[in-house]
Amino acid sequence: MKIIEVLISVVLIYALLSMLVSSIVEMLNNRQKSRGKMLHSAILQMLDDPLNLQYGYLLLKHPLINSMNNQQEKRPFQYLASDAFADAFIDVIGQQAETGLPIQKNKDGEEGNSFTAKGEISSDGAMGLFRIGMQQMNNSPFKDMLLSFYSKSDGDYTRLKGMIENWFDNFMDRTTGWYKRKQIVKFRLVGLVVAIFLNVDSIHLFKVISMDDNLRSSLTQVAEGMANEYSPDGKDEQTLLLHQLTVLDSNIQKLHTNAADTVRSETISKILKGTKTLSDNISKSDSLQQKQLEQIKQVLVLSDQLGFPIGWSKSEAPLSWFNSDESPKMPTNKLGIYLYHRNEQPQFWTVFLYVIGILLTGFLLSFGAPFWFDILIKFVNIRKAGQKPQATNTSQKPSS
Amino acid sequence: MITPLTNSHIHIFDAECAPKNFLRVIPSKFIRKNPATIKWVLERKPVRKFIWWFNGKLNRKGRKNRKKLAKYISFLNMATQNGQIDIFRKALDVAKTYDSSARLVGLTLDMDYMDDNNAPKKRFCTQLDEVKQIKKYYPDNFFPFISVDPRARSGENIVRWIKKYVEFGLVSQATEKAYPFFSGIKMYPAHGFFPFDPRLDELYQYAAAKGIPVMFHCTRVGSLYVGSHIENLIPQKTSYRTSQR
Repeated sequence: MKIIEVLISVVLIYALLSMLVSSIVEMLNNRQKSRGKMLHSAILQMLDDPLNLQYGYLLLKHPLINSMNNQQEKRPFQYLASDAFADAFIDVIGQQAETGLPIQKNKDGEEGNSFTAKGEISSDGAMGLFRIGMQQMNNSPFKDMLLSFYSKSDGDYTRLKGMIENWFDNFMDRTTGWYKRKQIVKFRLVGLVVAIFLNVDSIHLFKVISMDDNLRSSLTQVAEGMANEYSPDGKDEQTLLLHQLTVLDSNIQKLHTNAADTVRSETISKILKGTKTLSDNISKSDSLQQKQLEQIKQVLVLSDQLGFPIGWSKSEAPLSWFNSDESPKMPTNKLGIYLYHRNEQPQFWTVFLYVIGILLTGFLLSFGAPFWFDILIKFVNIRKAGQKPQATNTSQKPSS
Repeated sequence: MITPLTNSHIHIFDAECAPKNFLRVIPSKFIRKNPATIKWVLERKPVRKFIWWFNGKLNRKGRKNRKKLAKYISFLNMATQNGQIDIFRKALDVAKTYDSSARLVGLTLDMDYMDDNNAPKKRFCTQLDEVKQIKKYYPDNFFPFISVDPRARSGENIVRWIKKYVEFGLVSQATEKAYPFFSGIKMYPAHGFFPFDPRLDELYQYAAAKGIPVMFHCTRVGSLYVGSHIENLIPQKTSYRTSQR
């Protein structure tokens, strides 16, 4: 049972810190416009025909699509509905049929250097223009695909549009997978940075939690309370993150009914000051970034309130290894002895395990909060399943 | 009739129209060794902001240098943050402060063969299509020239290809005047071909017959071939020393 409680406690900490990593990564993505750029790049790739035109560029400039960009902040759109894509794409192919009016230069002397237009613009419908535009293309695999769509549509615009929408949706599913794979590197880097900045050593955490009964008990209590309230079904990424924060916050506050307003950890206090400066620099109109920053601050405060070993201090490893102040007296309890050896008498293995612990934390935090929350729920359920039912009073006799 | 103010030479291509080694046009040994990396770095906005700030700190009295740097930084800002139509609109806004009927002659650049191994992200056909759209939106103010490179197509193929751009056009709704999509031809021999290339003969005959203006880039600076053997191709003045015996 103790090992389950240790695992629950450690996983709870990972779940909390993973939320910090997720928030930071989302903030970075927002600043770097990663989602929008990825979507644009995917569309360019999807519609590039080396034997004809780069239809992706033409589609992105189509008024229906271009209007979705945030022109003021030069921010590309992050989401494109498949029906808007299909309508714009059919137009783009059809535009190839628009050759314009035949123009003839007037003879010199007649109205100067001027031209006369002959003929009229043809008024084929959308399907007509699509067919002509397609026929004017050089033969290519891309053209073959369009011909296939057109022939299966039997001249029906809705059917053609439906096929193009399906094609787009399938491609976007693959794009999501590419995006997530690209994000893994970012998550790992940010995870490592968080582990270093907050000095969270996984191996040390495990040892402290297994030796500190009070800490383990309070963390387990929070985890169990949280597991009862957690319901991730049907929530998108942003809403899920908010829900996770809310359930964690409410359960941690139950534990700390007389929580002090000051932050216990000096490191977290300094980081919170830094976030305030950042918040002042972020434009007030950028509500998304402000919200993400608030989430980061909330996670940091919750981490401090949980009371697990976090942050940098001169009396704790690794700063204590370089501290020339007189060492305190060695305590007599198990946890105290362990901490004394770790902080005051480092050996090669202490340093080695510390480095491994930090790297491990960074790696584990990159798994993301949803992963750790799911693991946490499973462990809590295992613990509940293993708990002995409360003993009944044997002196009570059943009523007749 | 008063001729409107006409700017006969503007470029509206954006950074994606240029190949990654484009910066080799700058006569600097350092830049010519690492053009793609430098281009990538300069395309980041924070980098340009830092360069601007750093130059301001260094350059206390040299206002001339700061103006030159400002020109290059604004050129990069324009090319990396805007599409062709946005660049054109900004140029037109400036021109209209002098004359509301201002006309701009936009010179397209076929950079597909400018570098021996790397075509630009946005190929010339896409650049042309975007420019054609701009002509449709601004028929009375924008007069683009089409760039021709005999390595893309030659002989009669050039003529067949160019006809759809110079023999077809539109009528302006505002002035009811007809215009071809493209008003002339621009050539950049510095990109790696000779003006007397025989593949261009049919084009010259066609242009002469139809009265289409043909413009050539002649200056030493500006756009030129940026392939790997650029140093061998650029003619340089050498000083001759008599050997001592």
